[in-house]
Amino acid sequence: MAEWSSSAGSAPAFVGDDVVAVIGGEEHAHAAVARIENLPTIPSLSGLIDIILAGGSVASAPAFFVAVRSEEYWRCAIRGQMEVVIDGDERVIGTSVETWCELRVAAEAALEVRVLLVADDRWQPVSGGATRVSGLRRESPTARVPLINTSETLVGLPEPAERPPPLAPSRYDDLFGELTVARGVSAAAVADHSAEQEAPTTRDDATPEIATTDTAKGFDHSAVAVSAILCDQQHPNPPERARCWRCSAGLDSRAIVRVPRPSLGRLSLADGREIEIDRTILIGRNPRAERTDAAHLPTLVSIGSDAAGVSRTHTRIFLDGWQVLVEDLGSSFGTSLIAADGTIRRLRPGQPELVRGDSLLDLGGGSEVRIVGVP
Amino acid sequence: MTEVVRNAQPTLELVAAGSTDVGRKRSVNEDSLVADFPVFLVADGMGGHAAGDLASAAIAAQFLTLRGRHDLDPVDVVDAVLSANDAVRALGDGSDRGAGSTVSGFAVVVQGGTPRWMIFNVGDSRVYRLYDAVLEQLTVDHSAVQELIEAGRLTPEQSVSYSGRNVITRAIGAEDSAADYWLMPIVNGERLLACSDGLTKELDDAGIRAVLIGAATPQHAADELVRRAVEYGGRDNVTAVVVDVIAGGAHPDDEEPTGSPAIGGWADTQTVEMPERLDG
Repeated sequence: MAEWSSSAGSAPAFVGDDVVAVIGGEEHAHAAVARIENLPTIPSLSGLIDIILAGGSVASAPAFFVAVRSEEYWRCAIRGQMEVVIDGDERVIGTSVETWCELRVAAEAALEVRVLLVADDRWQPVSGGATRVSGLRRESPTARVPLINTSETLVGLPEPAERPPPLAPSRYDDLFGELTVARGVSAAAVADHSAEQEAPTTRDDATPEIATTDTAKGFDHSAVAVSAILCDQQHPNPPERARCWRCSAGLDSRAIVRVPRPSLGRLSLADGREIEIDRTILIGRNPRAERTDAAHLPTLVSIGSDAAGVSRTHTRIFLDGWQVLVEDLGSSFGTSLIAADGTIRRLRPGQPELVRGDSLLDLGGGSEVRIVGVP
Repeated sequence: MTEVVRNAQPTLELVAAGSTDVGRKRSVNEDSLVADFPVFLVADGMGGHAAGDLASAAIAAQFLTLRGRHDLDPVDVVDAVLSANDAVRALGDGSDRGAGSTVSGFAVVVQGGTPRWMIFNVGDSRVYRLYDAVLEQLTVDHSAVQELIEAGRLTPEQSVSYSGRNVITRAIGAEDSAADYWLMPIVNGERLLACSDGLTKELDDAGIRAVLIGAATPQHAADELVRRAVEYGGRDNVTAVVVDVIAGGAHPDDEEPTGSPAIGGWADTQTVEMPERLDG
């Protein structure tokens, strides 16, 4: 199990030798993780999905990723705001389907599961069992494949024998057989395309449409969809709400639809700045966003230089479905989350807490940030 | 995004310069550069024959459409990378040889009224930052070597002689062209460098640092980096873009990683008081 690492987050998850699950939501997800953890035998994929659905409808099911390993491959299912990246290359995203996507991945493939917009790139080894994560990943025991050769003399030549052969696109192992090595340097755009003819070319044709959706490209935040019910004025609402959080209209017996996630409130700063909570926000005296892709670019919010107690990158606010979470990033003076009723929660570094309604963030040194308009 | 900005920012003052050389071994310079506010980048074309220089030039042309903009949103930079990719792919269409290019650089974007560096990278060109005499490599190469290092299969020392060090795993125009991005404060007194691998093949970090510290102006720094790379071998095209932040960025004090201890007595008082007040 040492092969898996996780990025910190709030989604209940289970990591076992042959079974891996990440489930969106709260109590229900915990119950599902507990059931998976206590299974006496290795379940089937459908058995795992049954546990997550827990007798409910598919439409109301949470986002999930589950995987069961047999000798040669992982059988995986993904739904909702999660993506799985296979060998750092093939992406399947759960938001583009009505039910869930199933895929089969070679057992030796590198797998990375991310809760969309939440997972970051700080990976820690995970010891196994029940946990909470925003992402899980497993390196391939074989090295990743070099795809492009910048040396002109090598461009277009067959893969040199001394390098490990590239892994076949793993979902199609069953189509091509174990020895298929689909792409060497010839697959790269710089390559001589005449060499490409020798490689199996059916891979792209066989790629299902869902796999070509790529949230890493473009800045289209509508790619992040949530299940919602709409009021008469078409305001999206969390499915469990009885009244619209914008206009208070009744929401009885509305159908659940998938909508682009709306802004889930805003930050209100002492100097009058207002910042929409529509993606990850990093707050600090002089915050930095480390390596990320286009879909995960955060908003940086600087608290003025007079805020001497605030660390450079102090607090992270991020979104998970309809939820707003806040996490202290190991700041010198810490972060406290003060609810509307006055309850103070001192955040533990790296442990996200749910923001329930309008709240106040205390960053120390008298620097405060209001969080308002959270559904 | 709706944001109300109350505090007008002081004018950002940057000085930028670029330099490039074909080197000693190649007949064509396939590198391109942009050193025009608000975008600073190098692109290292490849694919051989005519395609490489066209690819890097196409990338530069896409980013030059942003020239003079003082209101770039991160989305504009992402869009420029995507457009550059389309442009380079279009070059490859209709020829039997595709085109590709790296791109590494940084642009001034504005978030909530505050200018930031948005650093971007596809491939193995690099962005470095010199601040307070410390050199920091900001980008992470998309190269086979980097992946082997990250997997613990190669030490950085071994990588210098590794036979596959030319192999990159992402490129503009290639199948995987996804860029990595970073957002950073713009800090007065810092010096940023974007360079093609023709520079880093010939000069190690210590060599780059020495020039960046020693050169009086960005033009001197860029010229001297390129001159030395050519002198030390010039095995590839060499390109460097250097930018100094003169004014209008964050105050250097804000670069201290934690709360400023420089304010007498204040920090001590706070560390005692804060937990009591918050936990109670």
